[in-house]
Amino acid sequence: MVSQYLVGQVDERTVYTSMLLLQAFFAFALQLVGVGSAALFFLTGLPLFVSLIVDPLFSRGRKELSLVTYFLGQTLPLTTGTMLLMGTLDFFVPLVRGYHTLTQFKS
Amino acid sequence: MVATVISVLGALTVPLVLPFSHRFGRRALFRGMAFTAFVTTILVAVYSNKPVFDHMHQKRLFVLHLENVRLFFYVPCISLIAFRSPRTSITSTLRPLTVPLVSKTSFKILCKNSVFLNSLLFLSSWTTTTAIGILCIRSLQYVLRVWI
Repeated sequence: MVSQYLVGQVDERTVYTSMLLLQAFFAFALQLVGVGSAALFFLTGLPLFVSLIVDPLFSRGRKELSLVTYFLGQTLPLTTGTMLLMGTLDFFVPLVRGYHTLTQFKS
Repeated sequence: MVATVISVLGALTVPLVLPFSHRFGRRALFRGMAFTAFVTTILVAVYSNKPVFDHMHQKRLFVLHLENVRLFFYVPCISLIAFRSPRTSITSTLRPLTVPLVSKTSFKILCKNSVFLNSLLFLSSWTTTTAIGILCIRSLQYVLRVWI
C-alpha cells in the first residue's frame, strides 16, 4: 500500500490488467527456464483473466471494475495462497525461538 | 528470511489488493495505510509481551528412519521438536515408553551418549528445524544388551 501511495493515482483497471500481465509473465518465464512448475502463477493468472473477460457483464459501462470481478479474480489465488501459507506457517511459526534452545542445548 | 517468504506468499495470495487500493482514491489509501500500521503495531506490542512457549504450545514427535542402502544399515530415531527444555522433555516424554526396558541411570547415559544425537541435530539444524532431543532405538538395543 505504501508503494501504491508513492506511485500516485493510477487507473484501477490498468493495475488489474498489469497484475494479469505480471502473473502471465512469471508463469511464462518460469516455464521457459524449466525450474519447477509454473502452475502457481497460472492458477493466479487464470481467474484474473476470466474475471476481466466477464467484467463488462457486471460493470455495465462504468469506469471502475465491478466488485464481482474482484470476487471472481480473488477466489482461486486466495485458496491456493492460503494452502501454501498454512504449510509454511506450520513449519516456521512454532520454531521462532528454536535456535536459542538449540544453542542452550549445545552449551 | 521468514518474513520475506511470508510476504511473497502473501502477495501471491492477495494480488488484487493493488488495483483495489486505487479504487477509492489517494485519501482513502492513506487512511487504509494508517489503519493497517496501527493494527500491526498493536499486534506486535501484544505478542512481544507474551512468552513464545506457553502450555498450549504444540510439541512434535517425529519418527525418523535413516537407511544406508549400501551397508544395509538402518536407524529408526525419535525426534522431539519445539520443547523448551530438551533434556527433561525427552526424558519425561520417552520415560513411560522405556520404563519396563531400561533402568533410570542407563536411560540417562543413553540420552547423553547417543551417537546419533549429533548427526541428527546437524540434519535438523540444516533444515532450520531444531531437533531438541533424540532417542535412538539401536542404542536402546545396545543398552539392553550391555547393562541389563
